[in-house]
Formats: sequence, structure tokens, C-alpha cells
Amino acid sequence: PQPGVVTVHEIPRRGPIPSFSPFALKLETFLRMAKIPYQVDHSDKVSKKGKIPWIELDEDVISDSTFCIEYLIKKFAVRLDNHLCEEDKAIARCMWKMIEENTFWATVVQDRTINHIDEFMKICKVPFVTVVLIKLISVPRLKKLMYSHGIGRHSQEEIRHIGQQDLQAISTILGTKPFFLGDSATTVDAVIFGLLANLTHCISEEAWSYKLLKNDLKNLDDFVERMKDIYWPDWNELIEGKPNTNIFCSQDSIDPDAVMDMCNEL
Amino acid sequence: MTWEWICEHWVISSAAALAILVLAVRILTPRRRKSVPDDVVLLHSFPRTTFAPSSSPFVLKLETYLRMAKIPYEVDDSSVFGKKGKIPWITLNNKDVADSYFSIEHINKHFEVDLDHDLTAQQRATSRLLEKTMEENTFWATMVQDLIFDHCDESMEHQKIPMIFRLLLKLYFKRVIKKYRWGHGIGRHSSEEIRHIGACDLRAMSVLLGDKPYFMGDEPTRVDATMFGILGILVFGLPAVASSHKLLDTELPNLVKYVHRMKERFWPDWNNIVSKTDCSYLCGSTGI
Repeated sequence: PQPGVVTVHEIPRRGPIPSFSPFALKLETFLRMAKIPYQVDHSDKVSKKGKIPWIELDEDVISDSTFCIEYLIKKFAVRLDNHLCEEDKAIARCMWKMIEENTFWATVVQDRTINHIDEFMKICKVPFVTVVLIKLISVPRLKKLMYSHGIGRHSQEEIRHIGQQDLQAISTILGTKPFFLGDSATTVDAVIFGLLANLTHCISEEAWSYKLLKNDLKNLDDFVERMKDIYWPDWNELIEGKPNTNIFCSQDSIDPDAVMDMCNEL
Repeated sequence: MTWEWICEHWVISSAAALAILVLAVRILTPRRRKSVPDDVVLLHSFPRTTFAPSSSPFVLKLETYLRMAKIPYEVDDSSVFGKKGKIPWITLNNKDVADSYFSIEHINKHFEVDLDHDLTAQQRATSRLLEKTMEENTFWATMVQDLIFDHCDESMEHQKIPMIFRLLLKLYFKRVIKKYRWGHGIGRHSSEEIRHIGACDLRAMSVLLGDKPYFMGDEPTRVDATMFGILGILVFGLPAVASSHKLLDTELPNLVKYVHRMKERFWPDWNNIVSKTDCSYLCGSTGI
């Protein structure tokens, strides 16, 4: 790790997306939005809480992507959300929590990783032996976690209903705006992008969440593409396997008019 | 160390083991279900308590909803768990529905009720965010954290839980809930971090309520049942020393006033119920 530079410890890049972990994608997107230089360590080490991603900055080690973001906002005096009124900040909080504590389980865990595991493994080009191990060990473990959470006690149809209602709600909140809370991107956009991008780019096309986003909740799909174009100009290079161990130096400051033009085109 | 403690305190341990056995028999033995007329909801829950109509925020939510929607119901307080291993659950015209959320969906469909019919699409979406945040995050970070982990003894004293159940909670249920919390994810954080999470949620909810009487405006809607269910337990079911109770008292008075407002409107019989003088729960005819 380089002094003064944030090191993000996350799972290796795999598949048609810079990270198939919504939390790692959220964290990296936030770093890019906040223009904080960072480097990535893909050695798969988990934190003391048994979670990944986590970050290191000099002597500080922070686990859990949400605490990482809170830390980074303080440390680097990030002003992405400063212009928001209290009510918008409160809505952002509720969206954040619903997405990560509810929608995530119904979509990423149940729909992608359990219901359509074969296609997911194929998309991520996971070797056969690893697929077998994942099916034998990781999937039952995930089902146990879902049971502990509570959502795993429902039927497939009920879980789908729960996820659908959540996605419909955020689609309504987004409406025709380019970002969830207005014309400029805020932290919650990184959170929602982390999840939605995984549901449109790294999932079986038979999954109900993919179909819902592509056919019915088009504004969410458009939002994903917008965020991808602005904050991940190197998306294709990264998914082609080009190494990303160099410090990410933020691009020139984003021109808000250019963003509006892009939104109008989309 | 636990085994040594059990051997040394064999009287208490035997009593606890007996209590677990009795509870297991009660739960596993099929009981003769209370019968209710058609189109009357049978709400399966825990026995009434001395501090609130229910110790479970989800029972309080569901029962409050039934009252808000003026649905006739009766209560079966035999603590029989439903198919999903949860309480509350309902029986309506011989059909069992587990889970408070799906119970409400079923009730809405059967009785053609929609407490949100006057809301805009934006308001319905905000309702959804609030409901899910409260149930899937705030609940764990406030009620569970305070009641089971940070202030267990004081909470059980406040709720006047019998000694035998206090032992059961500490020896058995606490471990089960710890496992559930770990699976949920929130259990991996320190107590301080969990309290911080809960505090941020409650502050956001206070902002969203503002100075409105109910979360979506001048009249209560579906989300108010959920919000009251959990906030009600934080206000009435936790001791003054509990972090979330303290936060509500000192910094978020609008949420406390809101709880009292909901209680006065939908639970005029609250005091009778908690003092165990009123055993009739047939609500449909009370004209609330």
C-alpha cells in the first residue's frame, strides 16, 4: 500500500463487470465520484469482520463498505451530498438501507446467485471445479444466511414480489431525473448503481430482476448506463483483464452541462 | 464455563430445562384452534404484556393495521408459531397466512382495503422505503440491540418478564438471535457501530415525519402501522437507559409524540389491555 493512497481490498475482477460484488462496485464508484485516488488489491483477503471489500489508508483499516464511505467522506471532506436538504438526505438513507438490507437479498442473492447459479458462473467464467464447490458449499450457506435474515423463509414467488416492489419504488423515486436526488450524482447513486449494474450486466437474462429492469423499469437501466459512462470510462479495459494496480487518478472535473446533454440523449 | 455453571446451579438449570421442554411441547403439539366466524381474522400472537398490547413489534404492527382498516379480528395468544417459524400469522376463512407483510397483503385483497389509496406514486414509494428500512435495518439496530444485547437485564426488568423466561432468553434465545444477526450482516459490527446505524435511521425517520401528524400526511396510512409497531416498543418496551429510547426522548420528540398520537387514536383500550382487565379483543364492533 502506498502512503496517502486508499487501498481497496476486494475480490478479483471477473466477468463482464468491474466487480460482481455490489458493495465493491459501490465503493469504487464512490471513490471515483469523490475523486479520491485509490489502488486496488485483489488478493481476496477478508477483513476482521469476515467481510470484503475493506479499505486501508496509512494506519487506518476500515471494514464494511458503508463505514468505509462514512470514513472517506470525513477524511477527504467529500462534498457530494452537501447541497442536499435534510429531507433528501433522509430519503437517501432509506433508499440505501432498503437496497442493501432487503433488495440485495431478493435480487443478487436469490435471483442471481441461487436461482440462476449456472448462468452466473458461466458469465463469470468460473472453472468447473470451483462451480461444484460453490454449489456444494456456498449456495447452502447463502440459503442459511437468508433464513437468518428472515427473507429466506418466504416462497420464491414471495421473494420475487418483495424485490419487485423495492425496484418499483426506486424507479418511481428516480422518475425522469438523471440521478436519484436531482441533476448531480450523490453518494446514494453509487450505492444503487453498485446493485443495479450487477442486475443488468452480470446475471442470467432469464432472471426476473434482469427482465424487470430491461423491460419495465427502463429508467433504472438508463441510470446504470449513465453512471457507467460517466464514472467507468475504463469499464471495457477492466473487464478485458487489463491490470488496475496503478493509482486511479481522477479524470478532469466533470462538466455538468455535458452530463445533462448525455442524459437528454439517453 | 457454561457447563460448569450449569452443574453448579443444577436447580436453576433443571428449571430452565423443564421450561424449554414445556415450551417445546406447547409449540409442537397440535392444539385445538380457536374458531372464529367467517370474515373475521384470527390473529395468532403472544400473550398480552404489562407495557404494550404485544412485546412483538410485528404483532403490534399487524394488530394496529387491523384496527386502522376496521377489520374484525380476534386474538389467539397461545404463542403457536406459524409455518415460517414466525409470529404473527393469521387465519382467515380457514386459510393461514404467515408473516405480517403478507398477512396485510392478504387482508387488503380479501376485504378490498387500501389505506394508501389517496397517496401519490411518489408517496407510496417513500412509504416502501420507510417500511423496509424500519423492518430490515432499524429493528435490528435499535430494538434487538438494546433489548437483547446492550440492556438485556434492565429491559427484562422493565418488561416484567418472569424469571424463568429471563433465563431462557439469556441461555438460549440470545445465542439464536446472535446467529440470526450474523447471518443478517449487522451482527458483525461492534455495539457502538450498531447503535450508530440505528441512530442514523431514527434521525432520518424523524426528518421524514417532520411536523406532520402521520408519516404521509394528515391521515394515517399503511406505513404508520409498521412505524408505530417498532417505535411503540422503543418508547414503551425499553427502559430509560436504553440508547434508542434515550435518543427518542432527547433528540427526536416528534417521533415520541407520533407514538402517543397513534396509541390514542387506535388503542383507546391500551390501558385496559396492559392491566389485563379487558379480555375481549373482538374489535370489529367497537367502532374505532
